[in-house]
Amino acid sequence: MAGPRPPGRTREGRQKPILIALASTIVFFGALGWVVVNAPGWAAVQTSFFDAEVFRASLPGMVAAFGTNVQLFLIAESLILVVGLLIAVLRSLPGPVFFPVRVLAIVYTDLFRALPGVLIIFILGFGVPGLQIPGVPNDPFFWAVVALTLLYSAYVSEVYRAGIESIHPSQAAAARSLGLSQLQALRFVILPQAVRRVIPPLLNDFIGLQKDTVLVSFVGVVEIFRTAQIKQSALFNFTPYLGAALVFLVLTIPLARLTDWLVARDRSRGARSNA
Amino acid sequence: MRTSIRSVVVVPIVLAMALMGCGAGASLAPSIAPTVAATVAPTEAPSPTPDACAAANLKTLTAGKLTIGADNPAFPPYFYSTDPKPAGSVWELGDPTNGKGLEAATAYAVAKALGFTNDQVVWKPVAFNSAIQPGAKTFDIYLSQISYSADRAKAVDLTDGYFDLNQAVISLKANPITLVTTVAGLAAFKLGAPVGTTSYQYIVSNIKPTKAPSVYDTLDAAIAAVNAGQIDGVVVDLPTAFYASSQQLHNGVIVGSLPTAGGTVEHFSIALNLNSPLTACVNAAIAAIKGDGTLQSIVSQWITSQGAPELK
Amino acid sequence: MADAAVRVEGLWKSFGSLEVLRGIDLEVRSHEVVCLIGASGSGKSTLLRCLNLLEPIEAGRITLAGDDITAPGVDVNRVRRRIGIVFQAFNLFPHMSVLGNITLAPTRVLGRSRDEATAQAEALLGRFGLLDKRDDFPDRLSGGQQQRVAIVRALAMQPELMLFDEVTSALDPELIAEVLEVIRELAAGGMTMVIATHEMGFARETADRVCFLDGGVILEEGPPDAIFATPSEPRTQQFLERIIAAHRL
Repeated sequence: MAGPRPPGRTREGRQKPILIALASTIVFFGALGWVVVNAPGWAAVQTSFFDAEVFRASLPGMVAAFGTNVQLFLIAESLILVVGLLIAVLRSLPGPVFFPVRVLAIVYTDLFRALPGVLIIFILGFGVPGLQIPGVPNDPFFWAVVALTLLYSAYVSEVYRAGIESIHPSQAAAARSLGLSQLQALRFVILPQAVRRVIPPLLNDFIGLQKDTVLVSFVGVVEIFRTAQIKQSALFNFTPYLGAALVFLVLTIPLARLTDWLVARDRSRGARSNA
Repeated sequence: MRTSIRSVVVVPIVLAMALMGCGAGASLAPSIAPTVAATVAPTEAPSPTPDACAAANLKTLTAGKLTIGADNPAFPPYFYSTDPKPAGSVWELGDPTNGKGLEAATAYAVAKALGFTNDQVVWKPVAFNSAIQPGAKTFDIYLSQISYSADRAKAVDLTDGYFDLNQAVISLKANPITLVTTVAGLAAFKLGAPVGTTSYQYIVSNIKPTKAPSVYDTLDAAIAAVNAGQIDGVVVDLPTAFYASSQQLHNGVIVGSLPTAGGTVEHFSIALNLNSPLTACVNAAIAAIKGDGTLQSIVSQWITSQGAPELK
Repeated sequence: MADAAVRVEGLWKSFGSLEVLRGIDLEVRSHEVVCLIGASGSGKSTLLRCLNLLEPIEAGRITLAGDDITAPGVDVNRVRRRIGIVFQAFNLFPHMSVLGNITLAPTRVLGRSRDEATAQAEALLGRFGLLDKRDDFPDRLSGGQQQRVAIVRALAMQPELMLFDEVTSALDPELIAEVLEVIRELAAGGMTMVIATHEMGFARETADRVCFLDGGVILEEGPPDAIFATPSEPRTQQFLERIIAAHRL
């Protein structure tokens, strides 16, 4: 004869934890809210950061300026995914004849992971155009794309490399045994698997890139951050910065949740398959 | 320059007291109401009591010292460099501590009028943007080409003017913008200015260019952009324009000075913390150095108007 | 000489300081089935991986139908087209369907058209009862099915020589038979094969010759009956006794 059902199995047993969680959340955030609103200086903070009128007035201009950031990260990301892969593949070419190529790839990734983005944008955005070399473009947006691509490809190439190395060597062995060359094995067997595996960290880097588009403001291009700054210095109110923050959140939070979902889906798949 | 009759009358007396350099016994304190719009509460400004403006009684950040803020790099002709550069100096371009240049000299003159000796003056680099924003300041007074505006005066205390100016446009000799003779003619070009400046405001409100202006964190960055051919010209105050076009631009020129907009001539004010107890006294000091000709001789010494073309 | 599908002479192979193969001499004639038996670590897998040049060798020579494939400057990829290998862990490509796995090398390496390669793949799959799996991905197949697909994949390249590296050792017992059946069929069809295996019963019935590897050398070789019934070397006897005690023979 079956024993008494464990608590989780009865209707009350399922409802009780949910109610407790709900009550606890309300109490916690309610108390937090009360403390914040009643803190001294809240009125000043509210005027300074949460001014509805300033928000309404400044938001349209910032959303419009955000178009520049969007353009920048779409173009840069497309290039980064390609250049990063190229560097990763160059790094993995075997044999003594490719030694200089591997060294170059290593120097590149070390260099651009070490340098702050601001430094790179100044050197490339002002320094190179300042040389006035004929044929070399001086458009700051162009150099921002170059700077972001160089900067992020270094990180992304390491992500790809980790993906490639995570593919069991038996896959490469099987591919080579069929007569596929090293590059063919990479292209048809290793990379398709490796890239699928690293989509979550790649998405992570993409989210980072979206924020780093503000670097272009240093070389004069007016995008969302600069626009917020202009409005803030004109209105002497920090609410525009909050507006800018909101725009970024609206963009990145869904992407972050998508990344989480992909990771979770991958994990459940991995548990089933025999890879 | 906003002077009131009262200050003209009272100045010599204040000057006498200031020069005596003592707080005690100063009976006729400058009861100048702070001049129009320079501070927040014109009528309720604390009328300085007899010795309120004496150096010993001034509520400076550090007792016995006057902390003066300036932007870094400090631009000529407002500040000049010391050669050789003193060890450990953080100042780029100009070095305020040597007292050379319009603002360095004016600052020391104001300090003296307040009763501080040169040794009691401490300089501090503070970014222009942060000096004019609301918020507690890390200086007592700030001089770095801050143009007076009513909006700014709500965020910080701005004194009476110590210098009137016009804006100007600078560019490279080879740029077609140099052929422009009117403000309207500038509208077709790509201009730039540092963020939060009246220069930027001038572009947006008066020039109204067809291409959106580029905005930079610092004047240096804007000048680098001109040299790099990324923008056609920078709007900047005329005295700085003389320096920048000859010393910082590669084959630079002043395209022309810009006409005063809105009827009132732009002037530089000293900035202080909002509702600073020092403002009234600093205004008195400015009035003093105007009245006794000190300010005029400073301007003559450091500002050369070599004649730039005037844009109509 | 012309009969030898593959000849190994004086093969030495080390991993670092560990000598795994210490002078292997082996000749496999066309259409011959040679089974390699021996304890784990005796070098069976290593020998197979040396044969298809997956592992570089320290000394010795390997010739394939008379061609010296260990000479410097040999095009390794071309050599590998002629040799098929099936691994213990199947090593199917998980991101491709069964059909994709099989047609990848014929199209990319041999330059066959997609239609040609597909037709050939389907013929092979049909022959081994796997046609209904052609669009499935490897994770949907049982171990036995995957291994059979792996064999088909190797066969699609029409190799001169097939190598089998303990191909049933990772399978559940009830799935072993179907794989052995495929190998038997290939043998009957005249494919030259070198098979490393623990399946002694299978080796006994299918092999033309059995080689016992021990300590990096072929200690004893001969027809299956000779090796299994009357081994001459004491170590061979010891090995077989252990196998029998484990009811594997």
